[in-house]
Amino acid sequence: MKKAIYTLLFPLAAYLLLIIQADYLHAVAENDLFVSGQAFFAETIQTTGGIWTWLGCYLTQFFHYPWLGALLIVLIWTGTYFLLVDAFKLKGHLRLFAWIPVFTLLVSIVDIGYWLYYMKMPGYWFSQSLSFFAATLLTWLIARLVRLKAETNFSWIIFIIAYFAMCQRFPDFTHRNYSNHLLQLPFVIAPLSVVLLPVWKYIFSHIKADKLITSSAWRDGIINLAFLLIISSAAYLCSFRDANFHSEIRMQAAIENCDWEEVLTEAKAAKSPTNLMVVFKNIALMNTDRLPEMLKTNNSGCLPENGDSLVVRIAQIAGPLVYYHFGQINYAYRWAMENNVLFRPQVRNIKMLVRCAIMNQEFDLAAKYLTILSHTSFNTSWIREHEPMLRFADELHKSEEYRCIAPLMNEDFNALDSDNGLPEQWILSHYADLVHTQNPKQDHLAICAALWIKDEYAFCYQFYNYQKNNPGKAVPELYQQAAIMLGTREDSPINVQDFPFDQLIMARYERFNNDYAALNQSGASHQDIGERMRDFYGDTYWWYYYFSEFKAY
Amino acid sequence: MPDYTDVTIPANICPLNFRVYEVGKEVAVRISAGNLQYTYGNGMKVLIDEEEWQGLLQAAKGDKMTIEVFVNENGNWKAFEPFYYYVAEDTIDEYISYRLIQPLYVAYGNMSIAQRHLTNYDESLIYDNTLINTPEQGQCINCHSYQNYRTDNMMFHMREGFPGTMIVDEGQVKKVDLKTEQTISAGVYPAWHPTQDLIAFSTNLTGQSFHTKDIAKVEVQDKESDLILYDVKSNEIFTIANDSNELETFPTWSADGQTLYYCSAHFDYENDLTKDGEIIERYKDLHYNIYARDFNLQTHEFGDKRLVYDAAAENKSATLPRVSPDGKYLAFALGSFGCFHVWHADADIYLLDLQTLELINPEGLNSDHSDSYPSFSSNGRWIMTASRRDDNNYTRPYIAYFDKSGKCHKAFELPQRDPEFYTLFTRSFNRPEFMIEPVKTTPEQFAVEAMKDAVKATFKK
Repeated sequence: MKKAIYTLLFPLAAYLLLIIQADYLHAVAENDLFVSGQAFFAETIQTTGGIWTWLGCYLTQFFHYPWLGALLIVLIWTGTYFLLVDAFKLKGHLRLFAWIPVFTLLVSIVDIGYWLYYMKMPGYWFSQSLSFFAATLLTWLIARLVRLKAETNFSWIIFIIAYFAMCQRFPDFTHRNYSNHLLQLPFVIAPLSVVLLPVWKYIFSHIKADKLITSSAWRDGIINLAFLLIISSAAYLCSFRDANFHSEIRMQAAIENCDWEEVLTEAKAAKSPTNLMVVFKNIALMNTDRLPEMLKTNNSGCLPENGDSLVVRIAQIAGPLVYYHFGQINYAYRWAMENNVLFRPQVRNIKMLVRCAIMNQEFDLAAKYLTILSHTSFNTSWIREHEPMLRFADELHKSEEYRCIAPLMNEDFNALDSDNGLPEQWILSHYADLVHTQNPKQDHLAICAALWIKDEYAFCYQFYNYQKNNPGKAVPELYQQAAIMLGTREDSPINVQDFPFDQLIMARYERFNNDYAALNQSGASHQDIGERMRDFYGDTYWWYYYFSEFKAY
Repeated sequence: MPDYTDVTIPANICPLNFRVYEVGKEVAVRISAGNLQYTYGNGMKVLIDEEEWQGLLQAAKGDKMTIEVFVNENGNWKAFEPFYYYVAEDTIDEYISYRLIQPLYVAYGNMSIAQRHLTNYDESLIYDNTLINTPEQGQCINCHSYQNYRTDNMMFHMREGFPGTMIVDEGQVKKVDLKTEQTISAGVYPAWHPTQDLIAFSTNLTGQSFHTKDIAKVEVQDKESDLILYDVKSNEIFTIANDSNELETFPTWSADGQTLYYCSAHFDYENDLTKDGEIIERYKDLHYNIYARDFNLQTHEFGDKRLVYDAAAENKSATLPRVSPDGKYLAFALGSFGCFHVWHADADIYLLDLQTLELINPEGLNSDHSDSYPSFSSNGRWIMTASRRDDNNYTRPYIAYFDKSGKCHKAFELPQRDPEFYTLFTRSFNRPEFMIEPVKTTPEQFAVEAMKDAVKATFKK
């Protein structure tokens, strides 16, 4: 009984470790693709280890329900453990060593971080475990068939042959000039730890440590627990736990569901958001008509965690989604296509291609992509939601996405341009420079884009444009702050006297200037001044203008 | 789907399987020709037996076969108006080849050049870039070309990883570097001379930019382009045309090899410092005409250029010319502007009667979406085009019968065993070319040669 409990401890710990990252697991399913049918099979099978890729893609779909996908992979690992124990006739504490390859397979799933977007190996999350399981199964079968004696310890040779017979591709974590060989380590350690099993056996049998230790029940328990605790903790420590990485995933999912409040909740919780999180937050504000409040939460993004030796770009993590929600359908389509080609086919990109085709009224194309999605396993409700939009304009017009995006698609000219791989920079410059805004949503976006990238000239133009298009309407506080600050400059086209600015805002700006001057005189550094003024003025354009840095990636 | 209603097909084509998109659970299709009659149905798919199909083709040769469709809708069988496959007396070349590629923009991943046997569904690789791709450096492959429909003399390019032009010269593979100091790029769009060991190439400085609203999505433009002649045996390059105000491109030979046709757009840069920006800004000002130059088979000298078709005068742009094997017709893609009609929905194939200079719209071949890259079969009776009529984004080969009277019949899509193939397949069929025999050089042979250093070509004045 005790043995059974100890045996279940690690699978349970692994399951918990996976399930606490449910957001990531769901993203894994969305960032992979399995299409039932001969064409996908034939194309996948052509590559080295194609059968594992194909099976891996199939099973990766189950992460759509993280609990289910996690359960499946833990079952595979547990099976691997039992096969190893039996094939190598491991007894007592030696059994613990059979968890090491399983531990490395677990690590290989939870440690990849942003490589989720950049890896070129479809079905990676299951394929490695599957081929490892198959190699172990083959070893076990042969060991049983030829009735190898435990003393001979030839199972490791069989395993090596079986492992290579699986023809699995060695995972590669390379993107352009960046690569991370550390992430390949699990795939070296896993087979090595199996090959070393006879060595441990030999050592244990000679020093008789096993017998010594198992003689005491409480020691037995402590050793089991300690071992499992160590490898579970190690797996946790090896996992990619960057809060922003997970927050970005949750925000993406919320945006795809048009759940704007969820996006804003995530944004509020972020201590030091990435640029992408700031973009997501402002998309949510824009779609709830609160874009002028963009500085009330942190609008200064930072670069993503680069602990995994990868220069992350918004274009590749969420370029299609960002472009789509800024009404740039062609560019969203382009990046969905580029990312599908450059890395691997992904459900989320196919969904984006459907969305773009619908918005562009390319209904034959949308039907094609929907048919592809209909050959996947868990997207029936998504298809049911979008398919009617191809046939009935009303269905499209009443959708939340259309309500949000249509006003931004209403530009009156086509430009031939290129974003140089920087969607955020391109979108903000594009809207800041928009000459003819067509509706209030564009008015606000144009003026906020100018403020966001600190383009003073564009702001002045858009400020007058806003006044012209919205006569008699109250000017949001953010715009007043910027106009007051820029209007007080000598060469400014904004004459502060011409506008009925709020006196409280003007007085606050005066205080800001005084406080700044005082701190400056005290000899504080620019950065120090910024930090000390953040509590009082962090929500103002003045603080944003002087103390934050906009750097697109 | 595909739409095979009332198409004209060759007497040696593989079965035209299709899927019926109607409300219903199953379909039954009766195909009859002469004394033969067969019934097929597999859910909503119609999968025709290949042996029975051969019998049907023979029975209907020079005539037609009748297709009757019945759909079971909730237990009631609904009959549809019959349609016909007209079977021409003329056969088609047994092979075609194409590049399989995502309809991409800047990035590229796996791509391959494949050949397809038209009398059945067999497809095999000519070359696949994954054979020698590395994660750090991808490899782009493009512009396969053959001498006179035969494959002992053929070529294609490799770019980025292991760059060079792969040339099969009388069955022997070699890799050459066609970039010289005197030319603006390596060879790009090729045309093998039909009888001599010569290849005419364009050299192009190409860029692309992206439409924000237009569903054409991409614009590919040449900032500069010229024409060169490459001697396969001597490994030498000669200039054909390099006018600085002309963008010469898309060379093609007449069947007798005595005339070189090509396209050229006149473009005066107003500001040399911002060439990139200016050509993007004025993308609609690029109109390509078709020109010809006589070619002396003995001296290899070209005559003066002469205008063959003045597309610019009609505010149009003509690209990708091909001459029929009998020398009577010039097929080309015609759109409103620019050189990359695969992205231009208004682009259609036109035929110019080279004797009367009458412009013919082969309506059976064209569609509402982009139709580009025309090519004639070796007997001149079939015209193939790369068409985006299915969904405006993915290019598929469509083949039309071009009868002796000069009439083009309704085109049919390259048949596939699974009628749902094109819906699920996410690559374009690029540059479809007829061949009368398969490529015999194996992908592995190409790969071995590709990894070697390219032999540099020499420029001769």
